[in-house]
Amino acid sequence: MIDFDIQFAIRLIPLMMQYLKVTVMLSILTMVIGLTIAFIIALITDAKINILSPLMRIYVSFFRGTPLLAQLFLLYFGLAQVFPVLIKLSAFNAALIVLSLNSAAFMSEAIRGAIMSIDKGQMEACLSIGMTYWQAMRRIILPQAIRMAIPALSNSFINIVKSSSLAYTIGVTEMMAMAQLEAASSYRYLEAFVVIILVYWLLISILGHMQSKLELRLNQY
Amino acid sequence: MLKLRNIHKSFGDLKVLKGVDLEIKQGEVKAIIGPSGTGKSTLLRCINYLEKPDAGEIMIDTLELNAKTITKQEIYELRKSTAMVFQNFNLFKNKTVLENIIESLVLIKKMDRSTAIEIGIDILKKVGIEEKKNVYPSKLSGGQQQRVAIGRALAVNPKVILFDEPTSSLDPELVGEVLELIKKLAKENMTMVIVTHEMSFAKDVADKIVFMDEGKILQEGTPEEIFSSVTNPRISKFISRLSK
Ligand SMILES: Nc1ncnc2c1ncn2[C@@H]1O[C@H](COP(=O)(O)OP(=O)(O)OP(=O)(O)O)[C@@H](O)[C@H]1O
Ligand SMILES: [Mg+2]
Repeated sequence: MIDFDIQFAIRLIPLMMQYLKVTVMLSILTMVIGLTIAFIIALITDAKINILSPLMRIYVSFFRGTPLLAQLFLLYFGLAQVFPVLIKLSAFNAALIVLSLNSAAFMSEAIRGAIMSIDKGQMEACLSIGMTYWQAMRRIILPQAIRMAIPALSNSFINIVKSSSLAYTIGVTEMMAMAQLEAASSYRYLEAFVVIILVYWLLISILGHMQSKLELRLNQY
Repeated sequence: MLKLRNIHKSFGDLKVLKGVDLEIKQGEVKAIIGPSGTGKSTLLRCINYLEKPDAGEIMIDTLELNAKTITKQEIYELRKSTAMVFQNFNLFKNKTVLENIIESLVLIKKMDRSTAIEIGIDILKKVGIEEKKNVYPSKLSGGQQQRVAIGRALAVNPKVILFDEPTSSLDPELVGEVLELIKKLAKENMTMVIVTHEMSFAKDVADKIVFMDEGKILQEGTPEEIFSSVTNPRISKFISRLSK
């Protein structure tokens, strides 16, 4: 018989819920900042703006081509040695910055792919009635592209939620840190990690449900 | 009214337009015919600068545009006085029928929405599709979509409408309704340039027919001149092949 202390597990749940707030907050802020940067990158890349476009390619290549954990450590421990201002940076903000920059690289690719998948005729029709490139983007191309990108962006958000657990490695007390702490102090590793995994699973299932709802609403045309 | 002078256009090494001159008078309907790959679409697209000509001049009323010196502002001016109807309709997929029509009124002409809607409804009545005003394009047949696209072009209130094979991607039974609408516009003295493979339609609706071949205008004349007293062997070959 496996020794699983259900009472202990149940007592952990309210504690987890308390630190779920940190996870959710970190994830939502990351999504908002990351998505904003992602749109800027995608638009600059798509418009083929001199100098900026190649820089964006390098940005995306860097953040997609290196591990998130290494990026996190580089900013929080590495760069702080060179730039003393960074020492004042809180662990939460450091995690927020790195998660945002990292997720922006992935999301910009999703948005760019969606923009490219829109029939070229849509842009031509816009231009032919006298719209500017940016008017066409704003009114016609992006609304269609965003709808196309919803599944990929939802995936990115799910990845953000899961990746936010890495923040515990630089000392952010979120859900993962809590589970780690409780497990270590009680030696009830199994219970602690089963509970945290279930909480993540539940959280992400809810997100998946919201995604289907959103897609349904956008499916009017 | 619309004048093209010595229009040149290449894609890389491929010379597509090799010096095209063309003049369209107010109220005139010109059909452009010719073999595939001759540059008919490219010519139309140059007229509203979806393609930038390498050289040549476009004159429309008082606007004189030289490909070498044209500015962005001039391109917008040109596009406000021309409108394009595409082979694949290219209706805005995220906009309803009515929104497709009024987009240029609200965004470009800065009309307030209620005025734009009034004008939009009038246009929809004209193209005979008012009852579908709140429907998205994906719910329409090809013929209906093309009629909305013509309505969208009319909303620009252009000096000339450019049609690029407006019926080529339609099922045969839907071709008629679109051709009828274009004929109706011709009767109302709309100035139009129509690239088409529908020879009987061209004969019917056009004041002048332009035969293009290998990036040049080979001959221009009335339908009678082009179709009956064919003098050029390339033209007679093209026409006899099509009417088979
Ligand atoms: N964007 C482009 N890039 C490269 N080549 C092009 C481009 N657009 C057109 N061409 C080439 O230019 C030539 C003329 O094309 P165009 O579409 O103007 O011909 P067309 O007379 O309209 O033919 P069709 O009757 O088949 O529509 C073709 O050889 C075509 O492959
Ligand atoms: Mg063509």
